[in-house]
Order: sequence, then structure tokens, then C-alpha cells
Amino acid sequence: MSFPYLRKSNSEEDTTSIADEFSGMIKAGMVIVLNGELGVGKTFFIKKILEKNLINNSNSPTFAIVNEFEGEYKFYHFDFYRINTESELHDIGIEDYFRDLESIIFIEWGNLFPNVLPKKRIEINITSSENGERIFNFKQYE
Amino acid sequence: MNNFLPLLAIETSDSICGACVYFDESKYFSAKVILKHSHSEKLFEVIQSVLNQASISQNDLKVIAVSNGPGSFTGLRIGMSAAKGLAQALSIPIIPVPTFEALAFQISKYLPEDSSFAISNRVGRDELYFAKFQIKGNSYIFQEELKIIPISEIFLFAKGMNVFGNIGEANSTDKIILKHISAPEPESIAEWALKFGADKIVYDIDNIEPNYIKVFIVKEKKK
Repeated sequence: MSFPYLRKSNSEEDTTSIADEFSGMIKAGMVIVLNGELGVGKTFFIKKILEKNLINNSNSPTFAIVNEFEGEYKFYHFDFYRINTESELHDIGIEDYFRDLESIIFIEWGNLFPNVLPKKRIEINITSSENGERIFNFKQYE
Repeated sequence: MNNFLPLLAIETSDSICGACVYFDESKYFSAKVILKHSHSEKLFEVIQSVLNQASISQNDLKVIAVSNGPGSFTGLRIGMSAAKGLAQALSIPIIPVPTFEALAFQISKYLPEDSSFAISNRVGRDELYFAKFQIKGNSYIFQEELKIIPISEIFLFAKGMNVFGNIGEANSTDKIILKHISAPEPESIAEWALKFGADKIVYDIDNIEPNYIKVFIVKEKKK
């Protein structure tokens, strides 16, 4: 996989295989931002990556804001959807999560607070078309 | 400041979770734990262990000196809440100790007169806390006040200098000399408090906050 990268999915199986392919290139210290409308499959995509890393108990962090998982790597899974102001992110100590260079960080709805995102990150924008097809657009920011 | 002995010092701003019961420079009891994500669990055990070693009870403490940042947001909150809880229960004051200055004071014991050095720790991914010091008369003076700089600019700010902090290998080149000391020892918090803390003693502890807030005000102004 090299960036920018575009993949289309017509089924959960397709999405799983995209997640498997992407899993192969994640490394400690990566920040991966997922953007896309409600129900487009952000959480599902991350769930599949975590499963590939032998974490089978993941669920959506929409309510909890951040979930932590320990597998081959330490994973932090954020969801900014319920966040109202940037200062709420500082209140939960988000900089401390970013200081942890040995972990992998997923952020759903990262586009809601672009100012707090580290410069170096991967963004995955997921869009859906009328027939239910999902388009995964991967970009890398240095 | 002798009325304030024994003093309890707390350091949790970075990787060290430490405490020190301090009587004078020839008698103190210091302990620390280095273990990620454990400050909240370990701090009271560490405090109890130094109290036990010193054979005193917490009721004998006269003041609490606490490392006040900048540093890890979570670490500073753990240290400050512990200090406030104890100070409230024991009806004793708190001395908030500026973390970088305590570390500069500690380093000043080892470097020659007039030499300059920087201290720089990570804020998050892209920014650093940064301050520059010079050794003067067994202590330090500021050459550049504490500020936040982009991580990519450390070479401009600290070219050819000794830089103490947790910047990490990834950014180390021969242009600067990195020393992996990112937090003061708990006894340095105590020593700084006794030497410089007389006018910083806080009796009304409700409103003390770690100085991490500064960062976020600076950041939010950018919008």
C-alpha cells in the first residue's frame, strides 16, 4: 500500500480485506484518523484491524471517548463525535496519549478538531455512494 | 525555612513517580518508581515508604513541595491532587515547584560555572517545552524563558548545546547533545522549595493548579 491510496468495498468481506491489507503496514507510533458520516463503517474498519491484532473485544468509543487495548501493540481508539470543544480533549490529557510513541492511535471523527491532530498522521476518508458502495481514501501527512 | 522541616516532596511530572522526606542536605529519605502508567497506583505507596524509612508519621510533616510542571498532564494532576489531599487533611501549606527550574538547579551541581544548557520535554507529538539556562554561582539563571516550540525547531534553539529531556533518539543528531534526564529527583524538588520557595508558599490551597494550563491558552489563541 502506498499513499494516496483508493479502495472500493461492496461488502463487509471487502472491507475486512482492506482492513487486513492496511493492518500489514501499521507500526508503533502511528496516528490514524478516520473520517466519514455516521454508519459509514469507521468503527467496523478499526474493529477488523484490531481483530487482525488478536483483539476481539473492541467496541465503539463514542460513549467512552477513548478505549484502550493491549495486543501486539498498545492501541488507543478515540472518537471525537461527542466532543464539543477542543478544551475537552485537553481535559482528558490527549497530549499524554500523543506522547506515547510506542502505541497506535485511531481517531474517529478526527476532522472535527483538526488543530489537535499530530502533523504526521494517516487519514482515511470513507464515503458511501447511493448503491451502498464504500470508498476508502487513504492519505498520509508528514 | 527551617520551620518547614520535615518537608515532603512529590515528583510525578514525567517518568519518575517519586517522593522525598527532607530534613536537611545530610539527612533525607527519597524513593522513586519508574513504571509507565503507574503514578496514580504507586504514588501513595512511595510516600508511605519514605515516611516509614524516616520513622515519622504524616502528621509530622510541615509542608508539601510538589513538582508543578510543565510536564505530563496526567502526571501533574496526580501529583497535585495527592499534595492537595494531604495538605488539606494535615492543615499544612503547599509549595508549588516549577519542574524545569528544579531540574536546572539539580543539573547546576554538575556543570561548570557559566556553562549553558537547555531543558526540553515533549508536549505531545509536534511540540516541546523549552527553556535555556546558564550556571551562575552554584545555581542557574534563565537564558531563555520557558516556552513552547515546534519539535522541528529544536536545532535552531539549542544548536551545539547539552539538552536534557525526553525528546528521544529519533530527533538526535550531532548538532545537539541529548541527555535523557527529563525530570528532577524528588530531593531536588525539596531543595528547590527550601532555597527559593519562601515566597511561593500557598496556604489557601484550593486554587493551586499545575502550570499545564498555560499551554492550552497559548494553543487556543492560535485559532
